[in-house]
Amino acid sequence: MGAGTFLIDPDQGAGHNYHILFDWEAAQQSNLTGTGACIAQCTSSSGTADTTPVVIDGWTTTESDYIEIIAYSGDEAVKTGIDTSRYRLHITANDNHSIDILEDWVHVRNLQFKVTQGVNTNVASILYFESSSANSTCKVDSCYFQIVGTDGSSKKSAIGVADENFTVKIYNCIFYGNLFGRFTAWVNSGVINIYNCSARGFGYAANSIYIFAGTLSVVNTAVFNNNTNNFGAGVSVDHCASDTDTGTNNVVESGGGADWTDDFVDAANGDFTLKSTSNLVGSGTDDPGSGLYSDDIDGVARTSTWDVGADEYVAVITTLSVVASECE
Amino acid sequence: MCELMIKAANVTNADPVKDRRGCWKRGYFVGVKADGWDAGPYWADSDYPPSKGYFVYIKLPGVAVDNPNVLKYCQPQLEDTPDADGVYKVYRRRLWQLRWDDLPTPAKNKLKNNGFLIIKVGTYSGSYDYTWSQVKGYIRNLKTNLDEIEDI
Repeated sequence: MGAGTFLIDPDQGAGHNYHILFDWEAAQQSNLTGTGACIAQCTSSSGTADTTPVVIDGWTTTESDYIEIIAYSGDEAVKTGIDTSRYRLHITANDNHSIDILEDWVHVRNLQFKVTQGVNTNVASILYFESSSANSTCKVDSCYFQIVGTDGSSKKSAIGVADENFTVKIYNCIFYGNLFGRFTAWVNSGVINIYNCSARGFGYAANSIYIFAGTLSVVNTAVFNNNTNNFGAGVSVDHCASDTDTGTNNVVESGGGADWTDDFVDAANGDFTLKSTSNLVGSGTDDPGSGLYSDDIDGVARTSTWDVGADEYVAVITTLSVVASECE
Repeated sequence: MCELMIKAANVTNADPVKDRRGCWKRGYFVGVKADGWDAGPYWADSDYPPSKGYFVYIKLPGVAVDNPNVLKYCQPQLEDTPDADGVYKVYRRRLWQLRWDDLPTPAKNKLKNNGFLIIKVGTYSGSYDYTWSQVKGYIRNLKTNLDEIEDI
């Protein structure tokens, strides 16, 4: 019980340990101290979604004996939108966090999250870092978050942090909403650092990235087409692109209207692939996380000067084949 | 038919709040599984079979997987008052618990050795180990500290 790697597959394919992430947590919950990491690898071998909210609580973890929830190879989130052939945690139950984290040292990587909410729901987040018993750093890396609300009463956010002991580092993530999500990220106690993310379509009756209390900084991130404001008061914003041109070293978008069609292939429909002509290309700052990561949401190595957003633009290289006889 | 999946081992935490709020205890109802959920070719190699030590099962032939009288056993115990957002936070991981240690010895042995009990509910006419009337008195509401008296 505890340390090791476990395969979650709602389609119950070869090698699976559990059908849903919830069951993994119930089975493997333990004191990990001195035993190593407990890693849940998530796949959907036939494309079935995992639809059960998860609570991570009651474990004992350390920096080296951590919990990691990660996509299985081939099931990673992509920058073009939720891929329904891959694993995704898709919650439609009202009033639930998708993953409620009451544990230290929990890392989430490469996963797809979707929330579809009805009306008059309670406040909830996809990832809610609720309670930590010791100072811990949690990482959210290269994930895709989508919130589809019915109206302003849906009250759902992507990431919330509410404990002074948490530092949550969010990087290479995409946040895609239909204008009825509340916060892209909010902090009520603790610290959030956001690096190289792309966020569009949140901020219903709220600022998209917001501090109730605590600290929140945003670097190399594109934040646009939100319902109200992009950033609340006190948010540190640097080398970011926003349709309010907020912060220091702000990057001016290329244009194309509310969804920045001159910067992204189709952000209105969830595709945050950078265009070659985008002002966001080469306009960020290098290594803002001080070694935290060096690639983008696709795993592509970032090159100086880093781009703004979750995607690092890669020029298409055309290879010419020359047949010897044609040169004669 | 549905099956109640039950935690087979205690987890403890040195922090009494985390222990109560978060830890899975033996006899907690983890989830409800639908008929045929264990029919896949790879199930036997998964962590679900009772022999793996994580879960045991109460099988309820003829009971729908979405029966609210079954689903209630998988709900947490919530705080009595809501927080500032109107949300009732979890007080205990589960409201109901199978009183495993108090089961009659034959039932306890069967659960331990076979990993499941078949329970007759309503008009079910197939083979079974016990009736719901015999079992429900061993399912306790941890908030009221009273055993179940309701039928499914």
